[in-house]
Amino acid sequence: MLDMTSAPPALAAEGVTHRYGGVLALDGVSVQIGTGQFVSVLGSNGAGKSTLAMVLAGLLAPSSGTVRAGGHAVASRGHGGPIAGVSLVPEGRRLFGQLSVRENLLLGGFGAGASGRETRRRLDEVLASLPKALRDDPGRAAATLSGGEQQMLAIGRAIMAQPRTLIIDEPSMGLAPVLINQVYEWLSRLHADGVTILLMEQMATHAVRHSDMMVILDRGRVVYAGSPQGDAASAALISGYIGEEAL
Amino acid sequence: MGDIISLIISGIANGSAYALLALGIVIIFRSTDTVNFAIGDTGTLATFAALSAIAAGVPIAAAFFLAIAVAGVVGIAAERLLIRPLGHGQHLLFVALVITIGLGLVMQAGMGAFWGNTPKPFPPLVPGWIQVAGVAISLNKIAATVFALIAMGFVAWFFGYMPFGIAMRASAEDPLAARMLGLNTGRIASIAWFLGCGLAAIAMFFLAAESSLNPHIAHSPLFRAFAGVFLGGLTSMPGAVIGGFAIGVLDNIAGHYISANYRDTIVFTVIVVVLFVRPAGFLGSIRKERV
Amino acid sequence: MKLASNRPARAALIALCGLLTWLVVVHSGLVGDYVGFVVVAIAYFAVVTMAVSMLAGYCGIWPIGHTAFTATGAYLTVNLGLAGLPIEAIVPIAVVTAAVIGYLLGMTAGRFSILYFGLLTLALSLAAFEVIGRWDQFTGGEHGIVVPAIPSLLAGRPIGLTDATGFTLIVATVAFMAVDLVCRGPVGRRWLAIKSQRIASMACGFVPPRENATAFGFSAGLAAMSGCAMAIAIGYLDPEGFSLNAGVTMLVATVVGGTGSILGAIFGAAFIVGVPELARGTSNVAPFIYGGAMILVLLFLRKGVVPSIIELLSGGSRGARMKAAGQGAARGGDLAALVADVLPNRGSDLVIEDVSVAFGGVKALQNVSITVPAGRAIGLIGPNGSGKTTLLNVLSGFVKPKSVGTLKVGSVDLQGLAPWVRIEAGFGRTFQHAELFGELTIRDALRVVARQGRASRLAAGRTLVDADAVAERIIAGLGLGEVADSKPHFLPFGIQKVADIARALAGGAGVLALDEPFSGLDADESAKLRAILRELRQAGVTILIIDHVVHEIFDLAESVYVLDFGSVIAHGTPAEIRANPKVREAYFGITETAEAQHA
Repeated sequence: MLDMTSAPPALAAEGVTHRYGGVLALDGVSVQIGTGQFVSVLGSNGAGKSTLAMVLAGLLAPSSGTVRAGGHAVASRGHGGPIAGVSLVPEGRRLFGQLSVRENLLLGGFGAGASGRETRRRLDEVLASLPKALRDDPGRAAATLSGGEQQMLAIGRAIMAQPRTLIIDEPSMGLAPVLINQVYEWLSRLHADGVTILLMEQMATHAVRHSDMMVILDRGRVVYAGSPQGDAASAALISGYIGEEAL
Repeated sequence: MGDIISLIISGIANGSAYALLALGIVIIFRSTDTVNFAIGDTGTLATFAALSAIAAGVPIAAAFFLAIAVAGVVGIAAERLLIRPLGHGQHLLFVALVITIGLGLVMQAGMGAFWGNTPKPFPPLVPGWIQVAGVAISLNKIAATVFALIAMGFVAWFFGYMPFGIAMRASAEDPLAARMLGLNTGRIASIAWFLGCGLAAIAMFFLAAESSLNPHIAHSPLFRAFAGVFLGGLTSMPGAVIGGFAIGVLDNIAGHYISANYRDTIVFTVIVVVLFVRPAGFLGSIRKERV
Repeated sequence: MKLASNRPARAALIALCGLLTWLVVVHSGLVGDYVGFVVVAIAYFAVVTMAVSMLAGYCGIWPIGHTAFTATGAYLTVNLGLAGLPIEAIVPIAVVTAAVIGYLLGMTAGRFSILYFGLLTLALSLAAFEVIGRWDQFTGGEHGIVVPAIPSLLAGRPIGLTDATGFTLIVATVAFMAVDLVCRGPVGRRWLAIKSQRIASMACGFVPPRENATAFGFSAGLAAMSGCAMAIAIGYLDPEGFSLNAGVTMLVATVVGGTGSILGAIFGAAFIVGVPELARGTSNVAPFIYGGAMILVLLFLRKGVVPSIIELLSGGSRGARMKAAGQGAARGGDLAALVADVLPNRGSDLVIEDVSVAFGGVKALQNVSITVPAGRAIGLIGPNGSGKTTLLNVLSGFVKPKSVGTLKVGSVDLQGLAPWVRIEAGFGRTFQHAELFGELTIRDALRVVARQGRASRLAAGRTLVDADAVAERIIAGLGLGEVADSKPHFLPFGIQKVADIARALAGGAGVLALDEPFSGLDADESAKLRAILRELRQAGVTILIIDHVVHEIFDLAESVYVLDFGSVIAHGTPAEIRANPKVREAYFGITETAEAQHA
């Protein structure tokens, strides 16, 4: 058994602040994502979740603060690729709409540097866990897929890199409840297989149910970090969304 | 009737060069948002290099591939040294374009200084003539068309099946998402410039053999290639190819039936009419502005 | 600093410079024929360089082949002169001809993308070159044509080579005065606004395709003036003077000198005239220097030599001042009076009925109906991707709905109206990222937008009609005084958002749709904005506010609509919405069970 307390966290942000022009998106954020954990970062839109996701994936160099992956500081690599072993399913999925399902998946493996043969092997594996409509016709252009199918494909594309940590930004956005359930089932399976999951969400329900730890962001600041259960969590959650004064 | 068929056949043969250049322009534009005005001069420069190699005893066939390689390497260097330092952004479209115009000027002047401005005879890869549908066509033109089609087939295969080609299409559609997957956008840009300029070298190699080689030989074909790009749309690879061939045929037919003296003007008129009817070209799509 | 804003003084200065140059070259005896010839060449090249440079600087369009228009001017001078017309008639005819051709071409390319302008001018110049080479009667074909003596009413005799200096300097002076008058005025500001924010400029009532075409026509007219001067000054027209290379040379001058600047155009012209003169005897050096200079300037002095020098001389202090302009001044006066003074269309309601939008097969909006009664604030919330922005874009005219029941501001039906006429109906909007005009100061932006609303203010009998006065009133009313002379880029985001509202008010928007006004603001900035919006509502402005910062909406809006999956799922007072389980489920993702779990 892995000793969770002594192993370095899979990902950690220390005092991360980020501004876009004059806009403060993250304001001294520190979070630790332990290896094998399922962590949810919740907050209303504009709270800074997507920025934090980009920073933790190594895709955005923060204005200040450091990011560590597996205990090692990640050099600021704003224009480089993602941190090895970390995959991001971005907000809005950002599939390549003109490319086929198969091509989208293939790029997930290719981008992570997998060999041609290895990519094809993973492709068969990932296709098998996708909805039937995708499995049956992997030649379809991604733009023609439904929202749920697109989200599943986006996760599949990230999984093609065989990440140790999966960051997923707003998977439930624009999805009907039954599809959201499918997405979360898959995330649970991945978590059970040992993948560390970091979830950025606006919708609290599912996130709370699945996570070991909950972080709440409000206007770029961490206002709560801890157990997703209990009164403190509940209060923080409500106030993070609606604002305390409103209740 | 015989007339029109022969006009079409020789038009297609001429059009192969325009189609190659147009394809090169589109590949480079899609990958780096740069309209490369130096693409024709890059091809010319590579053809001069091939001429020097032939003079030094290198077989013509080898010189042909040498030209492609030289053009590709010059293209990579141009992108790395002149375009990439500019950074990204919609407002840089014209800055990049004007830089390539400057590059073209320097290349032309350089070729003039090194190889001279007088036309130099250039040996065809395949000498001789044959009769097609009653018209005499040089084997060079046939070879040009065949090689153009092979090159286009290669491009289609590369973009359709090779991971790198697929990655290039992906990166053209959403560069940030490509970066998120770990795709190396810098390398993608280099390959695009290598391919685009390499295609231009093929076009210029055969055009030089058709008449002769001088530093300014790329002017007129480049203009026609742009006309083809207008017809097909700046972002569509098949559009560029079809547009290039269409301009070759149109140019020939207009030159024969309307006036041989006003070919450029006729081509220009067609462009204006097309832009009026379909601003994005016949196969292109109006692309959303990148942020 | 004074001079920059005083147009008559600048015009006088330009005229004075022209006169002085003429005195020095012709009458001082200080310069010989050769220098005189060089000065004249610089003058006519400076005019065409200005034509290119003004398009690049004010519209972001780089014309590659302006030679077609210089050729129009030059050959019309020859042929109309042969027909006996005086030069005083020829120049206007040439200018108008070129301007009309330019405008029509501009309308062709302007409908799509500014990139196509550039490519189209390239094609035009090649076609023109071909025509020049072949149209023997008009151009003398490849052999060229001698320019005859042209009658002149003012001189009272035919003019020719010996009058070149005076004529060229007059042409250049007039051209520069015209450029200064147009570009430094409202028209130029409009062009800059469109150049920096094409979409937002439409919402302010500007018409980008038409403005681009107008600018192109103006520029073509200037190029034709240069052509007229060229014809008189050279005395012989050779087709080579209008080749693509000549067109590229003008680009070199523009790039080296710097775009949008008269001094830059003169410097650039001096460069392209001077380099071949200095390199005389060494063959083919000029293209090297041209190309090299172009690349080096674009890589290292992006703005060109002259603007970079000017910036260097005046830059340091300005940067410091910009930083000092911190959080903005306190607001003066109450907004009710301001609204009564400047808004022509107060008290309209906004009615949206049965709007549906589909992208491809995806239904983005389904039968959405929202009514914002006059002078009220209504909120619109909904999860990401629920269709809020799409609805706003329908209101702005950027997205065409699949079907519409009603879309009205007051009595004006918005359906089918172009985006730029909606502000006239009193509909204004703000943008999530403010989208201010980056190349204009806040004051200039408000002034130029306020001009759009002038007619409606006059018709509505408002006390303030003059655009500049309206701008000042709004600046004072919203507390933008300290930052009014800054460009928006370096201002804090909160101030940018206020300036965005100011812009909509300047345009005369009595109905305001606000796209996420509170996103990205800190607590202080939010408080200031909240106060402004409250006052505007009390002053009778109709407000539709879309935001994710839900408590701000609950605070401001008296009634709230909730959008989910493109449909309105709830509508009621903030209290009702907060208690509505459907909303809690869809928007907050808090189901009763989840809450029960925590409890």
